[in-house]
Amino acid sequence: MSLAASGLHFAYSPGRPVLRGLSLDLHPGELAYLLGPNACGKTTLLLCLAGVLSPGQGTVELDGLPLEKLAPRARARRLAYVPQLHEPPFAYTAWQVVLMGRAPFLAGWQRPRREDTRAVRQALDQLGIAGLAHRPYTSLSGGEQRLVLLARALAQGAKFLLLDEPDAHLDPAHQLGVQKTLRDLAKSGHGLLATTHSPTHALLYPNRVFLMGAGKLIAAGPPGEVLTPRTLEQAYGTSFRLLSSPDGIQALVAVESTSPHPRRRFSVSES
Amino acid sequence: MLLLLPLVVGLVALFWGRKALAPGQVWAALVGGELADNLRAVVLRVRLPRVVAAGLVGASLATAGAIFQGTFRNPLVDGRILGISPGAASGVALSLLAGLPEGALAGPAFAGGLTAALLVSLLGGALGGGVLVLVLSGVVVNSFFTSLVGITKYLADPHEILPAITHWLLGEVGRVRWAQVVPLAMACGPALLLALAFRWRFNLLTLADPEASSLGLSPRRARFLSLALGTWLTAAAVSLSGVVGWVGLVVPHAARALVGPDHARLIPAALGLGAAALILLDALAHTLLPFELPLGVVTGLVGGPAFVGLLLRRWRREGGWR
Repeated sequence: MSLAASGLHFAYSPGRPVLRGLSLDLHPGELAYLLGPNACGKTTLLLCLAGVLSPGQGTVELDGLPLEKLAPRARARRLAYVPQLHEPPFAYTAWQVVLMGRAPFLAGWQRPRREDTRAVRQALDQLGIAGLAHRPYTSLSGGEQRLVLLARALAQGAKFLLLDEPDAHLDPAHQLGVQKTLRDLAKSGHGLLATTHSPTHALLYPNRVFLMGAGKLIAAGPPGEVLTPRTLEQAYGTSFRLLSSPDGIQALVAVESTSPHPRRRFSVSES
Repeated sequence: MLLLLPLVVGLVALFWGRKALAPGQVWAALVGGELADNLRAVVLRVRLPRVVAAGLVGASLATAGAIFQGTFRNPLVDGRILGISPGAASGVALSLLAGLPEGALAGPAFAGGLTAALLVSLLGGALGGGVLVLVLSGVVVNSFFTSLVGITKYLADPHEILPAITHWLLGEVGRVRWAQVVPLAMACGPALLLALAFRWRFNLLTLADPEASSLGLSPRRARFLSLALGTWLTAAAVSLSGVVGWVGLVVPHAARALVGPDHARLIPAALGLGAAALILLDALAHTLLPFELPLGVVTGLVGGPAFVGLLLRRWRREGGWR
């Protein structure tokens, strides 16, 4: 079983490619992190893998079956996309948000049945947030909101979870909490791919790391091999230092460039 | 529960009118008991069709409003802001200008409403089909049809045609008879049932497109289907009653304040509340003053302050709108 992309090309408008021949695969039981500079195409890649966007060239296959051969609802029962920001215009409760994850199991005229409520309760319990069920989503803290969206992905029954910056906008304790939850989900058999902007997190938590730059993979493999100051400088155009603490914990931090011709990348948005 | 409210209010409204009737007399008229023929006619041929029409128009406008607000992820839209009511209004104004009799206006009203919605869809679709461009397209289409109505009023004969147009634009159900209510029910009934059947699904439309799509929905198609349903309801209502404003905007807010934002509860609540509200306002419109007030004027007078009340309540409880 796997989710595999090969030779992906994608452009939102002609002549401005976002993905340029990108291949990667993801397996159940694995937590993989995807790194790359702003606007290098990380979110676009996630959306292609989730079947939300169709690549211009190349294929995404789930267990050897091209995604476009799957009906949208069948696809949604296997692949879940967890957005970075979810801004509901109305104050739905956390329960109602998670319940929406059951949509792929329901025909248009059907309303959630008993088995759907059971799945929602189970997802909330698994993440330990049953107590949030009746609070309005809009009143929750960033960390709690992230867990509610994860619960929705679990209620979706998806084997593969594609997460857009699950650690963004969280304080360090909540960042740690979310990473631990992701690891637990991988242990329970899910395949997870999460984007992040923290090389240190990518060094500490996942089984595998993909490093991306301008629509292509620069490197892929175990974190310790992929994330070196050299590859990171290649990706981000700034220097990095690898720091180690006496108990073996390592961190990667960006420092002012020491190379004579620093390659600067500035970008305001990531689509 | 709220679905039963219009039945209660409707029953009360049957007693309510220029000619006072005893409960026994109304009951006798309804079940076919002993009663003078003229009184029976008042209840069955004048008041009952009027109450049913007001209920159907209110239910349709409020349900359409709830659908539009969910679909456009915007609590400030309704059939009027999106240009659908003005479209229907210009259909009627042009027909009156062309000399069509007042009995033949339902068709042009409906056609005008659908044309407006089609223009909104085409314009919005050409600009990517996103939520914001659709709302903006609605504002553009609204302005166009409002101007079209203005031109017809300017050109219309001030003694005969202009009063008819003005009268219709203010909205009323007072002169409605069964001959108009039956086609209205046939137009609104199926659309209301569809809205009820698919009610939970409207929740998914309030999600951002990539999210909705990752849940197995095709957001663009779903949005256009739901726009079509809301248009159908609005055009049907407007074709009978003329332009009755505020119901589509305020009632969904009131319903949300009562049952929360989940469309599985919101749609039935808006439907019931809208029907009850319009029956009540229509009863007020023809009894409050010695002469009959246009229904659209009453909904405007009551709707504005009611909306402010809802906003204030929200302000106190949740610190206002985000």
